[in-house]
Amino acid sequence: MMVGEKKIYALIVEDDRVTQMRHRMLLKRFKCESHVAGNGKEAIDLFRSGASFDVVLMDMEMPVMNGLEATKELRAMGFEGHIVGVTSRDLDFAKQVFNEAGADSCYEKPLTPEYVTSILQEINDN
Amino acid sequence: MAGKDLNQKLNELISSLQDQGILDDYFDELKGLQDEQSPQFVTNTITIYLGGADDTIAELTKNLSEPAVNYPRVTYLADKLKGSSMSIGGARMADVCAELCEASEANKREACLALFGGVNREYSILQESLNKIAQLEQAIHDNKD
Repeated sequence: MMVGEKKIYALIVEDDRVTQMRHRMLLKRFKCESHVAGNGKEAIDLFRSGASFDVVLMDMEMPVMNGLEATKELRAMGFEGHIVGVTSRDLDFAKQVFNEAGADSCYEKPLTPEYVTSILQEINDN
Repeated sequence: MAGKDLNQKLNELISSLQDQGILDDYFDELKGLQDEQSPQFVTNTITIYLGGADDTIAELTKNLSEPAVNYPRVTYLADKLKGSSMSIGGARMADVCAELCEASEANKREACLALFGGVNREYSILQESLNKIAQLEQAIHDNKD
């Protein structure tokens, strides 16, 4: 994703490989560099190892550590970047719990070009 | 000319599958992501989907055949299969997975078993459909080389 002239680095936290592939290609279309973590713990470990991202696309249901736990942990670690919850469950419920965990927004998956445009706008507004 | 015929055949197949509700617009969006740098993106994604779905369905079969069903596990697997199916554009498959997810959350064994039958039926249809798409995509790709 490009915000202004700045390239955006995204972390896709998702245990389903098909969704990983889809979201990576979609973000590439928006000229975004992306990295994939297979669950919340892998995402946390990446940040602890010094990796830096502008936005995290966080799936809700994952093994080892789910998206809500990972979101809370990232905020506790001081991550101030954009966290976007992504869910295939009830969207209203997901929005509420992701918001309580510290996410900035939540969308249905799979993400669409319109959703990515909206996320980009959210980052730009911040 | 052969390439044009193959593309037409592929488009007609996809259109027919969408008319039947087997695929939805998410498949069109997936196909739209394929480009010159990733000319086999659709075929590769189909391969990954079918491999993952086979494993998930095998685990669901095992879980649902246990005397004491591990409902949280079944819920997780059904939700995972639903999400994966949505990402490939498999609408009917995603819908029946969602129903299985709900039945499992409610710990309803008989409903789970009935719906799992539906999952197997829809998967069989989707698997055959995606394999046909993959074959045509591969033929189009080979024709370009």
